[in-house]
Amino acid sequence: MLYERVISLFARLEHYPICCGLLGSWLIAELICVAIMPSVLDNNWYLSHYQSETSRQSLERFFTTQSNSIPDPHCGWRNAPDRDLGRWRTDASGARQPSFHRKGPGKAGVLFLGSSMTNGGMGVSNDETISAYLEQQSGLPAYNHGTMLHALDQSLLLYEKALVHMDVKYVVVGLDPNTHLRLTNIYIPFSRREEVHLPFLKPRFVLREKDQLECISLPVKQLREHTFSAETWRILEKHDSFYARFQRYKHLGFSPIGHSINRLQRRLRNLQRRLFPAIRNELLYALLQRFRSAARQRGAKLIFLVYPAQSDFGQHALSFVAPDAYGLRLEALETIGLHTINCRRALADCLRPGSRFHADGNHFTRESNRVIAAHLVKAIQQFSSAGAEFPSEKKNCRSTAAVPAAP
Amino acid sequence: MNFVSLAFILFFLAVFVIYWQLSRPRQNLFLLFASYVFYGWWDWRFLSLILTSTAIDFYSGRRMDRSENPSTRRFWLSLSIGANLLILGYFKYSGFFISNLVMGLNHLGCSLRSNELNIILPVGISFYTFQSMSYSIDIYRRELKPCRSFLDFATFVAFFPQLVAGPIVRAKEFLFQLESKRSFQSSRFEAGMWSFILGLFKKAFIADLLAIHIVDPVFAEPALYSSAAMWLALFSYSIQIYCDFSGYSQMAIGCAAMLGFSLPENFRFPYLATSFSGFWRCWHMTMSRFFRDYVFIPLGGSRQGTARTYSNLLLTALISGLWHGANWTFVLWGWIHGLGNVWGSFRRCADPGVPNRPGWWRWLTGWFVTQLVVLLAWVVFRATDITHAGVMYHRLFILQSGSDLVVTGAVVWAIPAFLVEHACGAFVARRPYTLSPFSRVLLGACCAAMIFVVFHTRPETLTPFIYFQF
Repeated sequence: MLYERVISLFARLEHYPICCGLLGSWLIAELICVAIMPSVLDNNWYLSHYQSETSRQSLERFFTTQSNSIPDPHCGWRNAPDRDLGRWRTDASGARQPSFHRKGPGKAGVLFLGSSMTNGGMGVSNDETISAYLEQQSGLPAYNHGTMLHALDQSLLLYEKALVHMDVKYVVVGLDPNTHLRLTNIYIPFSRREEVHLPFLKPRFVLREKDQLECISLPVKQLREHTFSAETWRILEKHDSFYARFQRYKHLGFSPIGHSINRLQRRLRNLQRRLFPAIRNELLYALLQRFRSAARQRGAKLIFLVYPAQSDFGQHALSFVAPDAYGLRLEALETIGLHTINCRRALADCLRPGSRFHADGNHFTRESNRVIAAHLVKAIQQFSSAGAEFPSEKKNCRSTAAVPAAP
Repeated sequence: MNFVSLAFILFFLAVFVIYWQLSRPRQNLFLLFASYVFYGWWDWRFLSLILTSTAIDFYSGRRMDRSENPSTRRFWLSLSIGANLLILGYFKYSGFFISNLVMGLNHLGCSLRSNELNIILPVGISFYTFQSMSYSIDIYRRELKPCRSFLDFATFVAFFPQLVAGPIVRAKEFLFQLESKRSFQSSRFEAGMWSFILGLFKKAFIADLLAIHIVDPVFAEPALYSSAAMWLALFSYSIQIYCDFSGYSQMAIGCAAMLGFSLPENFRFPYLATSFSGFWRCWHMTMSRFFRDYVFIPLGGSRQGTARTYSNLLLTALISGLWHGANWTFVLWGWIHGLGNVWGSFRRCADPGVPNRPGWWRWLTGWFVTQLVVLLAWVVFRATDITHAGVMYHRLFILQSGSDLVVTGAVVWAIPAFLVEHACGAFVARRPYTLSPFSRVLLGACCAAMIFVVFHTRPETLTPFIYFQF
């Protein structure tokens, strides 16, 4: 019966020769792309196709210091010093300072570390960042060393190794919504292939026995050749948790059906991550503890700004079924005794939904930066013993105090 | 919903599967529903517009047919045409006319200011209004009986494969297909599939690659590029617009064929034409015949003397230029083609002894001159305004130094692919089911190869079809 049905199916196929040619050729091509090519071609061949032309141009500019980032032996990359793009400027140390910045006497400053959310990004001017508003509202000198796409481990290395001479009273670290994911990433394009402007290598920490942290760092200069050595591939395979994405690209990225399957799988994994967020992360906690120790050794107080994503405001379709990942994350941080600022509550209380994030959906508007700065000032006041330490006090988001006008 | 998108592929698959499970009356209803979903995907607010236009034309057609009084018939025809032109005029031309009127009055001494109207142009408005008008005019001329079913007529107007960018289908060549039973035929299905995939390849590979890597950078800032780069960009644009538009038409014809409908051909190798009249018999054929039958011939055609013929040719070309967009560049483009048609008409009158199949030398000169003028006319068509066109012409004809274009990667293959498509198309494109079974299997393998090429060279963002803006 089944045999007859198969025969009749094949008999009907003779009326569809074009379809047969199309499907047959397609299946053969899919097989070649999925199974044969990965076993014949090496990783570097796939890497050359994985990287876009824009990525290669970004790397070229990175190594010829034409980019907004420069190579750094400790944390992979840093802000380029003395860059002036109009709204986005850096000083000689690579910090993004407001026009009214003045260095304070002795140990009086606030150091900002983190990613572009701390840095402010291209959407706000130097006078509209969190650090600028803090300086304006409190009078404390602020040093914005937020760096594009930096993860927590890079901020830690920047603080420990590159800014070792910076003597400040407060260290403010921005924690991005997906910071825990990036801690296990080494080659940025593996986790964010669309990130064509910063396709760099970053160091990562590995948690060993007795909570010891070991830093794994790959030589940055091999990015210039656009190929990796066998040793680098071995390290990436072992220590970059996003290496599996590159493997999937090798097998599924060269054929339409494979690509569609890969995309579907990725969406399902994102959905799973949204519905079942990983809250407990030992590596993250170990890094946070190390940060706290490092700040304590230098006599500085550590404050974490816990940044929300747009979806954390409960406006997403999944918000009815997904757990409150932001709340769980914040709670976990507070239980280990860290000083945190609930940026989500601050923004939700003070701003309408449409005015919190830029059109890119990731970076804060200047209004959001102002609100966060106001809450940070309050937190800093709690640390200080006397309120007279600050030239001016800001109450809350409803204050009518002037903010620097946008240039 | 762009044809070159996963959303449309999934949409069409769903429509195809459901459609062939239904009986004819339900098929038409389902097609209408699917067409409105397709159109509403762009902007659901304009569904009421297409429905209004459909209702006016349907009702006018029925009233026109019922009456024997010529003035009553003219009234209903005027109502139908007037309503369609009003809709088209408001959404497409009001801003243009007002700004030019204000500019003209300012030149005369009045000091007026025009605020930008910011009217959104509904997608496909130029196409479906023309289709509706052709229906009313054919009824008036008694070449067509009015459609009895509003559902069928609405499906004709909104039929999604050709709704947004043609081919412009006449009611008399489509309505009977809606009214008759359609059965699934494997040969027609395969011909449709081949047409769709070939059109996809022309649009997504040839047109888009040339646009992104050559045409757009040069036309955006012509002053930065050398004359050689300018010529390459112009040549590439001529290929881009042909592949973009003919690709869309082929995809539309292919989709319709897979649903059991036959749409008219829209392109027939226009870059092989040896005269302007020949070019317009091969380029956007459905629009050409619309303007011929509903503008040129009612104006008198070529039957009222030489001078009148020339003025009719010019006027028709100017209107067709203006149809493309509310900008003086399109008017100028139409005028250039009008002059070309006038010249061709003059030559035919001046030298009536030219045989039907001229010698190779005459063929070559005719082809070269025609294609050169067509190529140069694309400059104004593509330019944002007359000044921009002037800058480009300057760079074309006065040797200028500047940046040259470095063409690498897949773009290198785009122009040879166009040449191969043009050379082979005559044999295969229209009648794949006349080939032997083995040749058809090879055709299927070509389809797979084209899909893979499109997949590997696809840009990160979809580029819209050029004619969607009209």
